[in-house]
Order: sequence, then structure tokens, then C-alpha cells
Amino acid sequence: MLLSLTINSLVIGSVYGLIALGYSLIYSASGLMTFCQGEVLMFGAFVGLTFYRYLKLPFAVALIATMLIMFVLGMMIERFLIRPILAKNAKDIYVVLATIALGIVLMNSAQHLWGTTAVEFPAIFGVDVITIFGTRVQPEAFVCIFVGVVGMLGIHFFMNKSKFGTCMRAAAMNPLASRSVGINVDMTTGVTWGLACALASVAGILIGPVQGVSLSMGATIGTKAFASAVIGGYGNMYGAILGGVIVGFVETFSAVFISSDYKDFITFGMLALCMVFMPRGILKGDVYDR
Amino acid sequence: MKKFLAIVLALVMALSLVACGNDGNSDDTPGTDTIKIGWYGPMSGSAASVGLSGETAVKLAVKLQNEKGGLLGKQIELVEYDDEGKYENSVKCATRLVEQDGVCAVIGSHLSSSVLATSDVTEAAKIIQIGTGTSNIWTNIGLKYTFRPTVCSSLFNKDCYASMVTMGATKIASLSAETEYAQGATEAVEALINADPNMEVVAHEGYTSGDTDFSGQITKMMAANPDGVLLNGGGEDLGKIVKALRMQGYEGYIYGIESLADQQTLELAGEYADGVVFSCCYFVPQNIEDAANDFEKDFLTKYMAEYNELPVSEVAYRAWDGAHILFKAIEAAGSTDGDAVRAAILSTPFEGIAGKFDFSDESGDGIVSGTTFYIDGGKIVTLEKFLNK
Repeated sequence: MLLSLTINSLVIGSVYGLIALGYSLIYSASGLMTFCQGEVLMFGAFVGLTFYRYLKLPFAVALIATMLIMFVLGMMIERFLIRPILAKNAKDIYVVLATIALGIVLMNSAQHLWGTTAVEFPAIFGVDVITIFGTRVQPEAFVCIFVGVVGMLGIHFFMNKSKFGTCMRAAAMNPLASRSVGINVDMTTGVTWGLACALASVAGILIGPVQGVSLSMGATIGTKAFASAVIGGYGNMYGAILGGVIVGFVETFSAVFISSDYKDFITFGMLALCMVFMPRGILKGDVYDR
Repeated sequence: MKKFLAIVLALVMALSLVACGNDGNSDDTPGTDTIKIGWYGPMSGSAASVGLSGETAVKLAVKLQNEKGGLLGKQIELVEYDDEGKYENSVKCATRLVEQDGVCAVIGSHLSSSVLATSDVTEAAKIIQIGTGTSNIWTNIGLKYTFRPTVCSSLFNKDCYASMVTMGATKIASLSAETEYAQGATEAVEALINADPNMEVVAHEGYTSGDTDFSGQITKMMAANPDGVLLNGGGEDLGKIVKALRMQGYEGYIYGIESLADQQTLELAGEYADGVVFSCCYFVPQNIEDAANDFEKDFLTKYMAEYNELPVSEVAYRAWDGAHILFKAIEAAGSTDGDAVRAAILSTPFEGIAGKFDFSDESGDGIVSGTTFYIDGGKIVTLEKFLNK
């Protein structure tokens, strides 16, 4: 049973981690916080569903098309929502409020576009279940672990080793100084939001076959992913995945060994304790003062 | 400028979050010569798909009744509010319907907690409320103006237990949502199991509605080696859970009541829904030809003609029967006065999709009828038919 629980914890933890990467990416590359990653995930899952199930495109094509659309959506969010707010020198809390409002707009838009009924996302692979050490896991869920780890490493190296990534971090630390040395701060911020949205859509498409696609699919998962990002160290890519895995382990094991009725209580209680005693998270997330 | 921005943001938030969002179908113009009937229920949020099934059925009933001349020579005006599936919003909606819109009757949510919460408002105003929830919490408690146009789920719980006995299940693991409906249903079935010397509850687990991962609960349940699993919750969650149970290797029967008949359960669970046993009054078939009776066939034909699809949930049946119980009572009473309409409901027999209603015992319930179904090869058949196969 322990092995089975461990594998299940890793699977759900990597899903949380994958979404948490989006939260951390936006924070580390723009110094801003978003609260609509769950809704972006849901919207991306519906876009992917449209390409894959309704238009019957090959999965790889559907995935790339979805990522492109969500990347553009992210750029538009930055251009038409975030940038105007920052241009007024508004406090960060207004960006947070704007993303909450955006989440509701995305939710209602999806309701009008795709309806309110939960629908099945067809299996991506030929087999429904693979068995790992006796534990049956859907391959799509298992792929989340792989994508999560690759995403974590990829974003970390992109942010720290590439010129563009360095520009993004510089723009987040000090936009004025960055502009003075020729960095296109608007572009770096736009790319950041685009990448975060594309990342969330990948998570949405991967968990679609596991739990179906519905309007509410992003609500709980988005909140737990946010908790993961904070616990791991907000803005730290390794922290996002670590936090996701910790949340996955805590909720799965507490459901078994304490009580499933208190699973969420324990998970979010851990978040509260973390914010009080370890506000920078386990891996000491960077806190920029814009 | 910051103030302006703050106001705009606050407005966006308020417009999006505002409870009781009117969908624009109401006309508050005073003096119009219409009979106003209210409807409230979830049109957004996680219960929206089921709520909208009820709303579209009521809207269709009103439209068709108006085409026949309305009620008492007047056209019916439907005033609708979205309560997002939250009972605190339901109370606001019901209060607005009664105090501001001046409706003569209300057709209520499929969520029993909302019906119970709003009954204070409608009872105090002596206005009929046709609540479409199935929980036993709001009937037989002395409410005078509140009626149920479907079967109380207490009967389904007994049928659910009986189906376990029939199928030879002795060790039952339960998994239910945190909602009052799910908890109540699970407690009722577990009480029957505990009273049976040959059966026992080997695991009792819970989950939060909208949750994404059930692996911990399922692992714990399977460690108890059950030969039957009892599920109670919303259709969307149950579809995910049925699939997860099969994915984690559970091969036994899965028991439950009406929410397992939800189209979303079948859609999300797909082929893994085979072996699900549920007790309910009715369910929406995949084809109109499979309707169980002429009333159901007539409704589905009209619904298909209007919306070009079948309803997602059997809540549409509840709302349709509820609207017609109300229409018939208003016509019989010759008035929209609450006491007169109540007297008409108590004294006028009604036959609808669920069967023959008789509210004369003043309990609020008017019908006792239920069947247990089995999902076999993706098709829903009666348990009796499956066992005789």
C-alpha cells in the first residue's frame, strides 16, 4: 500500500508542481502574482479538447496549437490587462485583483463557449492504464511527472543561462534600470505571461484524460498549486515542483492515515503554518521589491 | 487615476460575482398583466449543468403554457435568478423574488439545502414553493406551502441497500461528498447496513466537491477489501471517482442513488461505468424511444424540438412535473392566492413523468416510486432485467 500511495502522491504532486511552475515563473520574471492559473488551465483544457476530440487533430498538433493559442492569450493578458495597470503605477494588489476578475471572465467565457457539462477527454495513448510496481496509473498522469521535471529544469536553465531569461529576471528586479540598458521590459513580461499560460494549458491537457474537462476542474487544483508554489518557495522553479510533491504526499497520506475528511484542512493548514513560520518557503523564494 | 482604476476593478468583480444575477428574462415593469412565477437555482458554478437542466425545463413549460393561453387568461412571466448553488445566495434570490418581483409562486433549486434555507422566506409570505431537491430534510417538518415534484431520496436509499443484499454484497466501503445531500444519503444506507447482521461497513471515506485526486481514499477503501462500494455526491465528481476506482483496480459493484444516473457520470466514466447499480425514480435515456412512459416521451420530444438536445440531468423531469403541478393547481384554484393554490395542490391529483402524485397527506411529498438500474455494456437496464439475463 505504501508504494501505491507513494506513486499516487508523485503523480498528483507533479500535476500541482506543473501548475505551480506557472505561478513561480510569473513571479520570478515579472515580480507579479496571478490568481487565475486554475482558470487558465481549464480554458486551455477546453481549447485542447476542441482540437483533439471535436476537430480530431493528431494529439501532437492539438497540443502545439493549444500552447500557441494560450501563449498568445497570455501575451494579450499582459498587454491589455496587466501593462495598463502597471502603467498607472498602481500597487501590486490591483494586479492580483485584476487576475481574480480575469479568472471569472475566463470561467464565464468557457461556460458560453463549451457549456456547463463535464466532458470526457479521450485517452492520449493507446493504453488506458500502465502498471508500475503493481500500481495502476494512467499514462497521462505519469507523463505529468516527466513534463513537470523537464519544465522545471527547462525554465530554470532558460531563466538563469539564456540571455532572454536573464533579461526577464533583470526586468523583474528593476524595470527602470533594465529599460535604461536596452531591455524591452514589456516584451519580457509579455513572454512570461505567455509561457505561464502555455504551461497551464499543458497541465490541463494532460489531466484531461484522467479527470475529464469541466468548468470547475481548475478551481481546486489551482488553489492547491498555489499552495505548492508558496510552500516550495514562491518564484523558485525547483521549489514549485518540490512544493507540489509535498502537497501531493501530505494530502494522499493524510487521507489514508488520518482522515479523508480533513485532507484539505491539513493541506491548507500546512500552507498557513508555512506562511507564518517560513514565509519564503522551503527553498527560500526570491522576494523582489519592485 | 488609481481611484478610477479601483472603481473599475471593483465593478468588474461585483458584476462577475454578484449573486442572484438576473438573466434578463424578467420584466419588473409594474402594472403588467401577467402571472409572475419565480425560479432560482445554480446557473453557474459546479452545479450549473444540473441546475440549467431544471431551468430550461421550466422555461419550456412556461413557453408552451403561454402558447396555450397562459393561466387564468394571463400570460406567465418567468423571473429567474442564479444562486450559484450556494444556499446563502438562494435566500437572497428567494427574498428578491418574493419582496421585489412579487411572484405568486417559486420553483426552487434541485439542492435541498437551498430549498430548506429559502422555505422560511416563502412560508412567511404564504407563497407556494415547488422545491426540486430530493433530500428528506425539508418534507415532513411542518412546512405548509412547500412541495416536492419528485420522489424523496429516502426511498432510493432503502432501494440502494436492497440492491446490495440482492447482489450478495456484505462488506461495503463508502465514499461521499461533504454536502448535506451526500452525507445524509450515505448515513441512511450505512444505518441499514449496520442493522443487518450479515453486512458491515468496512471503510467510510469522504471527499470535497470538485476535488481532483481520490487515490488516498480509494487506496484505503481497497485495503479493507470491500465487495461493494457506495458512492454519494455530485454527478461530475462521481464520474471521476468511478473511473478512478476502476483505474486503481476495483472490479466489484458500485452502488448509489440518482446522481449516478447523471449523464456526466456516464460521460466521464465511459466504459468504466459498467457494474454501477443505482436506485432512482427515473433517468434521461440516450434516445427518446427508450423513454419509460408516455409523459417522459412527450417531454423529451418537446425538449428536443426546443433545444435540439436531451436534458443533461433528470432534474429537468422534476422541474417539468413541478411546473405543471403548479399550473394545474393555479387553474384549479382560479386564483394565485397562496392558500387557494395550496388547497388545490392538496386536493388535485396529478400525473406526470414520475407517476401519480397525491399531496393530500400534507407532508410535502406526493409520490413513492423508485426503480434500481444497472449499467451493462454502457447501457442502463433495470437490475431485474440484468439479473434475469
